[in-house]
Amino acid sequence: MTAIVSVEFLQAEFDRALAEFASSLLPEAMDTAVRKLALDICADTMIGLNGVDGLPKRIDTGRLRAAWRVGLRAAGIKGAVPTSPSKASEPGDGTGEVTANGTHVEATVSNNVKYARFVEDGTVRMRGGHHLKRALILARRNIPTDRSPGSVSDEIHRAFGGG
Amino acid sequence: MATIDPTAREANVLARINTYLNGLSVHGAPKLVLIGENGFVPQRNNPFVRFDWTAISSRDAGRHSATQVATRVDKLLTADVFYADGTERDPHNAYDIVRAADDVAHGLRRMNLDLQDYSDTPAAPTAVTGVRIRALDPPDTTPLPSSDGWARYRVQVPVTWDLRHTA
Repeated sequence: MTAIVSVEFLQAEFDRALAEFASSLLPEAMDTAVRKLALDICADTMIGLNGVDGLPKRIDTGRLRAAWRVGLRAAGIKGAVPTSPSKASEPGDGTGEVTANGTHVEATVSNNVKYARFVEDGTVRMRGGHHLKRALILARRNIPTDRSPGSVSDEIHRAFGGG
Repeated sequence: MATIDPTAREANVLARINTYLNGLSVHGAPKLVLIGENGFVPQRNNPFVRFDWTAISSRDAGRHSATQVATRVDKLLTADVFYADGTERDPHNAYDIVRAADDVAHGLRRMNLDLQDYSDTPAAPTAVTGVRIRALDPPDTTPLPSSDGWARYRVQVPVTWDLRHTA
């Protein structure tokens, strides 16, 4: 029995599909990925503030934690982040925006509560919480192409003799 | 009740790291405030380095043996270097803190420790073979804004080890 298989490569069709992917689907995918990343970082920071995994719990009124949520919403990122039953939340506590230029997408979420830096970094008399730093490390690990220190890709790269 | 494997006792890791940190030679001989050490009160003109660690995550790391699995644990080790700010009447060498932070970063960069089991004989702990406590990445050194009359540098690096436990 003889089987004959023929393959035809439609160059024009391939180019058209690739161009469509690059012009419409790819920017949309990048936008979704970056928004998801911003959401993850803020969510992990809020979880850290709650005192999980032995992290120092830094919740009094809940204002600092709520400000991350305010920032996410300002950036138009509405995800299932933990709700913050805050009694103290003032306008401007959180700001955020997402800007895009083709496949270059940037999400900025800011926590503007005055004492945020002291909760994160600590003071001369108080140890830092490092909640945001921890969230950033966790987020980097989830980016497959990220080679920054601490990422999974970086560990694999070096395990196989990479510099 | 099953005994806890020495590698799974965080107290062993903490004691091993604290022993190492306590032996660091740091410029200006600042007071070393170790991880978990409470009650320290900063005093003007007495520089100090405060160490701390923060849980990042734990991940599956395969099997260690037929009966034990391994879990990779990551912690963020932070060293805050404090030197009193100089004033017009009491000027200080601005580079002392930089040199101290550099010494701390160097110490963390070359950290590669064996795990000591302190549970049986605390005064003479035994080494657990095959477990290393390491800083895999180069530490980040960052100057932070002065506050309360103290200049400050922060040195941070993730440390990693594999713990074993019965599957």
